[in-house]
Amino acid sequence: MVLRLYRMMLWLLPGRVRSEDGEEIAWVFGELLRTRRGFVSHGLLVVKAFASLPWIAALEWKDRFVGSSPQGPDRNPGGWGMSQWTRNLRYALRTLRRSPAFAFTTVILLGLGVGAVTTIFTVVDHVVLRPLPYPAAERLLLIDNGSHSGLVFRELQGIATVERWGAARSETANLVWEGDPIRIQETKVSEDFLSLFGARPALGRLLVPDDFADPNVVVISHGAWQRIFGSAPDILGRTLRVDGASVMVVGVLEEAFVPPEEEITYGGVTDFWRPIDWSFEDLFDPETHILEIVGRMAPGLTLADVNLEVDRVAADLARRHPDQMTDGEGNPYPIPAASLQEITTRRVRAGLGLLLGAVSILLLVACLNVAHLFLARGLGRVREMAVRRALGAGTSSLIQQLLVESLVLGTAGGAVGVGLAKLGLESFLALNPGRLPRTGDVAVDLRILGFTAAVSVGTVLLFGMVPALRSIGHDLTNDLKGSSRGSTSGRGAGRMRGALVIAEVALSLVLVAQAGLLLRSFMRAQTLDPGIRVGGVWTIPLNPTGVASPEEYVLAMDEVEASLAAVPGVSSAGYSLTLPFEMTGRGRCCWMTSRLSVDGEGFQGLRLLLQPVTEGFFRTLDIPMVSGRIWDEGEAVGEPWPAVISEVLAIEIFGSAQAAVGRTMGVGGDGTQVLVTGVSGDTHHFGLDQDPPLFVYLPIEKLPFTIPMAHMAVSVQGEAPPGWARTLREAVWEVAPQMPAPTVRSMVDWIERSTARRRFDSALFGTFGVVALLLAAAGLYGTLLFTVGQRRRELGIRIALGAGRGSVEWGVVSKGVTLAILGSGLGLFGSWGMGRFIESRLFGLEPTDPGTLLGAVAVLMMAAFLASWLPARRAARVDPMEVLREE
Amino acid sequence: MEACGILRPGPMSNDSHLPLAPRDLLILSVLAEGPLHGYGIIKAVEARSQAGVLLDPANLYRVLRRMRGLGWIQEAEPKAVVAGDTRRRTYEVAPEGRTLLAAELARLERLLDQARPALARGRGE
Repeated sequence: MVLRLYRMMLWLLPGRVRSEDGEEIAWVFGELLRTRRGFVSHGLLVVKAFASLPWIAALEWKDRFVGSSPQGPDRNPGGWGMSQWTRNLRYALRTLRRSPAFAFTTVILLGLGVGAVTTIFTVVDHVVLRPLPYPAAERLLLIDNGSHSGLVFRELQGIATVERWGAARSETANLVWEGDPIRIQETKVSEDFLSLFGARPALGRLLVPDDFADPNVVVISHGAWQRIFGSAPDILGRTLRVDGASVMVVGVLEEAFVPPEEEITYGGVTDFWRPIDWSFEDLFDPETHILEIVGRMAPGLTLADVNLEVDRVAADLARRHPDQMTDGEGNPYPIPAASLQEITTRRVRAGLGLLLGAVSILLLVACLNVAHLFLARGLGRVREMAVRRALGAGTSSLIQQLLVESLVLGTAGGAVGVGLAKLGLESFLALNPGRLPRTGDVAVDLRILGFTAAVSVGTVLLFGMVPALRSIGHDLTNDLKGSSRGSTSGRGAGRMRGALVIAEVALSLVLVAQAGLLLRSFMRAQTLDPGIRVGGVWTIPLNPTGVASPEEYVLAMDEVEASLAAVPGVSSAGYSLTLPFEMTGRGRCCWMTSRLSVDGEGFQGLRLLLQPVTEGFFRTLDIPMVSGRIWDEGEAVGEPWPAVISEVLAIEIFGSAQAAVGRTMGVGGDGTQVLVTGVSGDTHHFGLDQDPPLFVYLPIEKLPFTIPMAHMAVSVQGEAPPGWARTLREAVWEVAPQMPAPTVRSMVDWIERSTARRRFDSALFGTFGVVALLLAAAGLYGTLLFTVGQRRRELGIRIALGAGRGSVEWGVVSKGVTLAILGSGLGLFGSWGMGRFIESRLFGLEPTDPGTLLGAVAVLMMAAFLASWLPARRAARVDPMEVLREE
Repeated sequence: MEACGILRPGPMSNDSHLPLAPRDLLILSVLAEGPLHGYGIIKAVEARSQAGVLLDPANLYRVLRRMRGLGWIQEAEPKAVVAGDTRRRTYEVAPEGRTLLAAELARLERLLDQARPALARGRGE
């Protein structure tokens, strides 16, 4: 044992020294070891020999390169010269051509694994790791905790640790331009916003301070200039009609400018950049949360420095506006500064990390199979190696040759991997499951190629080279005799194969279990009752802009509602600010308050969703009344305000739906009194897997402000006729000719979209799981087949001596199943450990859900049984006569 | 140093290598008695110096390689093998090594001759 270790340590010595004296050194050490008596002198010898070896090796290497000791001409046996490399390369290609199945399988396995990892890594790299494409991007910050008022923006200006601030407000607008009305995305920005992000004009100019005195100007994005205006060179100075107002084009941004995404502009798309109208007084109302605030720290500071000052501002605001700028407990309303890069990527970071982990496991399983292949091939080549050694090849030249072979396979696998990654990336981005930010320019580039090369060469060296080294045996005579009897597979190799199978099963189990958990979450969410009618409901989200008053808004939209209701086949129509399942995953809409009082007693910590609706809204979506009734026309315009509340809210406040009817509540900052006329069933407004919100439905007539949102819903009996979307659009245009209606979508579609991420998750992980399962089964199958092949003679003799075929079969199957059980045990531990990474994506079950885990184990055991049974049958069919004849 | 008696002092040939390192001196002197393989050298050196292991195997062969490179020792003919595994490489002193050893011993003897009276004088006072 000690001697073997010492022999291994001798590899530290330069090749020439090793080939010249290695055997002698090891022999002397062995003799010393043998003759030393007594524990102390034994120990001294071992310690001294092991301690001095690295030192000697270092000296030898120094001699080799500096050449301090005169040793005669350098014969360079088995040297690493260039000609040697090319010779090895040619030899490697020749050998690999002679075993195409091995080469092909290895390359494909490597390619699959490397391709999967490269795909996800490319996405992670572009989306999370790279700095944002702005000047001094690492110093950009965003005031977190949602949108803020102009008041907060103004107060923050005094902070010395931030050199420049910007504010933005993104919304949709309607543009009338040659033909159908167009819906555009418009971002209103503060003076410094565009220069903060390094925007430069391609035509004209950016916004200047004077524009903010007269905000009817617009800077157009390059994309909108091409798409809407056909890159018209004379666009500057033209006047456009946006939301009923005239605005003049003063500039076009350069193409390279990528607007900041996520929190600031929805999805990074902005067509029009316009100045914020600071004369709009409501902007400075502390309750008007509509601005996104960004800034750039002064150089050399940290977020902590900035937040010290920001906290002071927050405390000051809380003192001056105790009613609005505090949270429920009287603390200052939090306005924390956070890194823009982190904010931009935080939504997707955990998900991508999980994905990267999953593909890494997949790569590992593929690599373990590669290791199987190399191991089997190595055993088959023991004789070849022995012959070459007998003919004078040094160990180092044999290693060199194996190295070159591995590198050839690794390079080929890497190339396949890059190709697959390109395909994978395209389909991944086409699906773009979680609406990933920053995916505009994702591509495989040099940096990624470096990563891929490192992964493929690393894996092939680790998983190919190490097993292959076993083929360079020590016992030359025995290897040369090359009797097939038992000489090929030592106990060590057998154990290594077993360990590989166990590892594969364990890793596969982790993936299968995760896939199972995600699939069950998906199915569980799918079976929930959405709380509304789904079939036959169509939605048309509209953006009524440029409306002067709430009364005008209601009047105009009521007309649209009536026009839609009059379409043949439509049984009812209704509208509200938003419809269920439109805003899944983001609670950024619309009219919310956390202030509620009943009989003078305040409730804390409830987030009420105020939803102005028409009476047709309930009928169209078939939302049932659990108790009471909907308001009538008289009540809708009278005092006090009538309201329908959702059942969860009724139970929360009044204990039951029945108890709520007829009661009054004070809602909102000014405590408007509303009378509960009815309690409605709950709806999963923000997604099937989200809790039903606490709704206060109000008559649309009570809408106190104008808002560019009126989402229409119609219900039809039976199938929608062809051209249905056009019919509905025309019904809208009949009464509102300048209203864009870009989206006509069925509720079924909305719900599907709302669960798209879960479906994507379970499909992706399901694929990973199945592939891993197949690979593990293949590994097990191959191992057992190999063992059976090796034991053919023994099995034949046993059968000849009267062993039942059943017992032979069982012997093989039980070996495979034992390995699978060991692997499953490990895999269960692994799944348990991985659980917390996946927890946030699950719905209605724990990551340790025993049913799912047992199911995964069962699937794996079935696969393992099948994979063992096939080789077992082969074992049982061994013909004793044939075997004995061969002898 | 009794074993040194069999050596005759020769002409000084290679002064630049003197004085010899104690380790080199020991190896040369045990090889002067007859060819030995690596293990034999260690055994002989140990017996002579009455200390624990002076050389670990890797270091021994490093020294041997250097001495061979300098021409002090050479590989012995297989027939010269006295004992032990016939497959093992054995070393013997080359003529140049023998000369060097003699020169070093002469140098040491001179040194001793000068040192002994001094010690005696010191004791007498």
